[in-house]
Amino acid sequence: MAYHDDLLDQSGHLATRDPRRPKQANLRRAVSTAYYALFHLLVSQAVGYWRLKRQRSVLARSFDHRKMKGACNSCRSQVPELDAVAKAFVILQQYRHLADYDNSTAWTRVEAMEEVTRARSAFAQWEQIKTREEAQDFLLSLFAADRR
Amino acid sequence: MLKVMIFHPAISRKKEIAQIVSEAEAELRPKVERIRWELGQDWTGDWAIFLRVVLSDAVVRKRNWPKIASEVEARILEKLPTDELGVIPYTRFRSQAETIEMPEKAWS
Repeated sequence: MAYHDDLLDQSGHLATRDPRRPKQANLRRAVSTAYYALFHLLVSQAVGYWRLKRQRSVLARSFDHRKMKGACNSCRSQVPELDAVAKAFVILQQYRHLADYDNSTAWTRVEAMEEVTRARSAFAQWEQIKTREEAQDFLLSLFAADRR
Repeated sequence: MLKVMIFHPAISRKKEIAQIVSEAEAELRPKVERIRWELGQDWTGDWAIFLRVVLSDAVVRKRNWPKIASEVEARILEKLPTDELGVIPYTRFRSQAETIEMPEKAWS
């Protein structure tokens, strides 16, 4: 399985651990991992178009979270699935930031499960549209310089 | 010291937002127990509306509750003109039981 698929599975696993009293550490890692699953899915799809395989990891490191959020936030696609993926990315990134850095925010199982579900839906929606030209334009927007 | 006042157009439309959220809350009962919200900035400084939705325990007991949560979120965002307000919507869900177990002012 690809790394992003493993991350998605792991986020679900973390969110459903400790049936009675979920640990904050697991819930936080679940939310954070759900974001990284989607992040790595999109990055791997984008760099997959680069012909030389050995250069893909270098290209993957050039993706910037903030820039990707900006591109997703500006996305107003006529393709509803693409729009949904972009929105999910923005939301998951914000929650990843909270989960990783804001210790004053507690998480519940429902909250964590909801974000895992959001990432799963984004994976499913991406699968439906990934070969479309709009999806490839979107991938380009995630790392191309903004010249507006 | 120079003080910079941060003001966003959505702030002047709080009454309107409150009205819309309240209508959504009424429409979504009994699935939704209550909806709380606030305007603020996200981690990158973009203006946002943070929505906190308390789902009824009966909904959360169902296997397909995440689907119901997605529908609830979609319905709220259909009513709320976030693009026009210039805010990014961020929705979080808790169950009624969770808000009792972990009482927090922002969710009450």
